[in-house]
Amino acid sequence: MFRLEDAIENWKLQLNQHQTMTPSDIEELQIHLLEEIDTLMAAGLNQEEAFIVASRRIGSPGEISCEFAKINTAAIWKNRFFWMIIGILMLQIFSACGNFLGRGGALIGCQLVGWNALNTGIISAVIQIAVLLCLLVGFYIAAVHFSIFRKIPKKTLIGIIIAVSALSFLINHLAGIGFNVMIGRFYSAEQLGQFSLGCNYSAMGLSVLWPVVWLLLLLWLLPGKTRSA
Amino acid sequence: MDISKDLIAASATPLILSILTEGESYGYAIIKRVTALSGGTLQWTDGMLYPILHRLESQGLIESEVRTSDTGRKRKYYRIKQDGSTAIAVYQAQWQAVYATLNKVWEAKLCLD
Repeated sequence: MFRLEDAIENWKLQLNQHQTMTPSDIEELQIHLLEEIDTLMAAGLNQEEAFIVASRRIGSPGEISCEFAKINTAAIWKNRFFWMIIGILMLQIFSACGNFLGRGGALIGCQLVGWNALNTGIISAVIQIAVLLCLLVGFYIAAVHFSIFRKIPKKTLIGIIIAVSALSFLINHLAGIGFNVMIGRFYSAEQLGQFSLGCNYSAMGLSVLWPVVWLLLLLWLLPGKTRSA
Repeated sequence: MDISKDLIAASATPLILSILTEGESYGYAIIKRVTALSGGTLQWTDGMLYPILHRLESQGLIESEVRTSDTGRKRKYYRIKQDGSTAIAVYQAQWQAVYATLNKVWEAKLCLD
């Protein structure tokens, strides 16, 4: 059963997919589509036929978006820049979480289990990376598969993210001071050396791992796979 | 007879500006006017009109206003500005020069035949 409202919604989604058109561009085209549908229906076509002919006359979404991309460059880059900022802030939040959980978790956990300072250092770094990677993957799934960011208005989104980012930054720094006090009180000078050695061993491994991870990400996001604007 | 895409694209701007000198209009009506004027030989892809209108607006040749029509539908009406009228004169001179040049060659060829 054909429903005009659904067909139009679907058509608008297709136009929006290329992200080169502003909401008012799409609205103007929608008005055009409706006028054409009215004219065609007055000439005897049914709703479905009228929709098919009218949307064809307007042109394919790919073609139209390409034309709009030529004139909407400022708006397109503003939109891209917005998401870049969101990405940077999210990365900062995730690193703060990783740092906090890594140092705190390892210090407290290993103290309870009774592991030595060298292992604590290694585990601390491993937890940091594990948390960061898990959050990045979770973020990707939430954004792509559940499209949570499309559902939140942009202003609310940036407000929440800035607040969380500031809060995580503050907590991480205050906790960092706490952890340093803990290390200073519980560890002897030799243990402190062992701990920092452990951290550095992991850092060595990670300094190889990170560039590889970013490189893979970059290759995966390479243009060509995505739209060419 | 179908007119080539390149020629349609090249003539779009002067045509839109000239139609707007007849009075303010909106996208759908402009398309209808082009079809009527050309007797259907100028087949535009309707969606292409809007990027051109927006470009002309940002260039200051035309201006727009959103109003509700008699049928209760929201429409964006476009109006020509002074700079737009000046631009038409330039386009006119250009197109007439092209037309005159082609005509001279064609007439010369006719004489030879």
